[in-house]
Amino acid sequence: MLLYWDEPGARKQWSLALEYAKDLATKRMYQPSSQQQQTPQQSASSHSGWGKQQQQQQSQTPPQPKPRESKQRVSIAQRLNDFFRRRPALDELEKKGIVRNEPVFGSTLRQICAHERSDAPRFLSRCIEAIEGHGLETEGIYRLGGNAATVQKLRLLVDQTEDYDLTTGWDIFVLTSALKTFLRELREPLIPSATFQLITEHYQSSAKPSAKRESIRQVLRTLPPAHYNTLRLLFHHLTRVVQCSERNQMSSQNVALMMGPNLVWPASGDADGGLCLTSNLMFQNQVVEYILLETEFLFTD
Amino acid sequence: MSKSVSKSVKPIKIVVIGSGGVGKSALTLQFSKSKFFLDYDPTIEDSFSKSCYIDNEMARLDILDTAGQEEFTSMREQYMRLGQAFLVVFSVTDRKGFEEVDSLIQLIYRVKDREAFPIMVAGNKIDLQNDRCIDQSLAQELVQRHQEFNPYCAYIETSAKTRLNVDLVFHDLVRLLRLYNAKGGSKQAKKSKCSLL
Repeated sequence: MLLYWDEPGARKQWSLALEYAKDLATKRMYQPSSQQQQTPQQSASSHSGWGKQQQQQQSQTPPQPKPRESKQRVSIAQRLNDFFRRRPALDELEKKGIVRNEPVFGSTLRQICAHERSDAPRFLSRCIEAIEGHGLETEGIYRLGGNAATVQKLRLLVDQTEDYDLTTGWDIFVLTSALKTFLRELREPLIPSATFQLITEHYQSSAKPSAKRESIRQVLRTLPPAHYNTLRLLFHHLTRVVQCSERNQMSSQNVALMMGPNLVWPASGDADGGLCLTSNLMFQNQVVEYILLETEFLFTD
Repeated sequence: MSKSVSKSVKPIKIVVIGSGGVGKSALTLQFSKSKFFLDYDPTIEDSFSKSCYIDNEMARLDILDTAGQEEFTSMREQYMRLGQAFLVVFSVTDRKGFEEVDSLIQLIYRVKDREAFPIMVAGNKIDLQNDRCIDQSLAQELVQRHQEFNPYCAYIETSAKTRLNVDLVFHDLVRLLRLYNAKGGSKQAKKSKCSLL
């Protein structure tokens, strides 16, 4: 932690307070619970807000000039407040180019494809290639997760370099987790909620199966090219996963259940946020499974 | 003494959590229905109830079986708030599931705003000895670290397939909860860690 203050006295006091707080925090963390109950006063006061605890630490720090103490205490709280207020907002930093968006994760499909001049994100096609290289017979593929830290490592690599290789050195579950994370962290869902709503309406309609299929195909056509191409790439891959279901135990239903929340989610302004509820999740999965089973037809020109 | 009418007993809410595919549903179903289901269907959320005598005292258990995948974690804090005791499951054949145990326990403390809470950690699938990659001592070490400040935490190895320790893990969890309640657990000091710095 870096602290900067013009006044040497204040600087010293800060560092003492911090040292003491650190000391207190470590001690408290390793205190057996019985001892903690014996000091109700101490724990009670630490609940009543951060400011008070700061005061307590200050008053217990030994080498402080007594008469100046109370005045100094107020001013430090004040200065800390000012310090936090002075920090620039995130969008301001983004404008200045200090905070930059990650180029792949947490972006939008349109931006990624425009930037890469590709039909679908290169990360996705490389990831799918690597997963299929490992073999789709792996039991629990897309159901079991990979090590979270390794997934983050992969994410950093993908965001920071353009010429990366996923085919060697990565665990299959890390790859599938990364793929799911990528989809989930898109700023717009792969299937936008309005489109999904339309598909659902057609799915529920009492039209003939062939007419239903055709109208859903038409709805998918209205998607922006980046979304349509990505969806086609992904669902063809998932169809191949389901084809191995006897070995990998992942039926179309299971795959739909695992992928559903990564493909569709309600818009942030959506008041009911309905898709998160369990019953709606079940329904959402039926629609995703339908798309999965009809992939061959739905994505053929 | 022991109450004989099960309806007069307040149900205990047990929440089963853990990484995806470690056998949470298999354990729960083996306990509540005495069957090992070979289905490989991932869970979103299921609940079961079962009444049984534990140490001559009737207990009604409401068991909530949850999804392990991170996609479904939006619901996690919600059901954690309702849980009175937790069964944290990992598979001894899956390193990733074990790595998640610690953060799940931390999450319980945080959601419950307590430093101690009744938690059983179950190392499942021990029938698959050949695929085992998490040693018993490794899991025990983790739980011992928690026991330093949470006396209501314990570790046990289970197999939903062979029914080994399945009853025991649920019964012991109820015992921990009883102990916790007897010591006035719910009124115990809330956690007092300051994580500001």
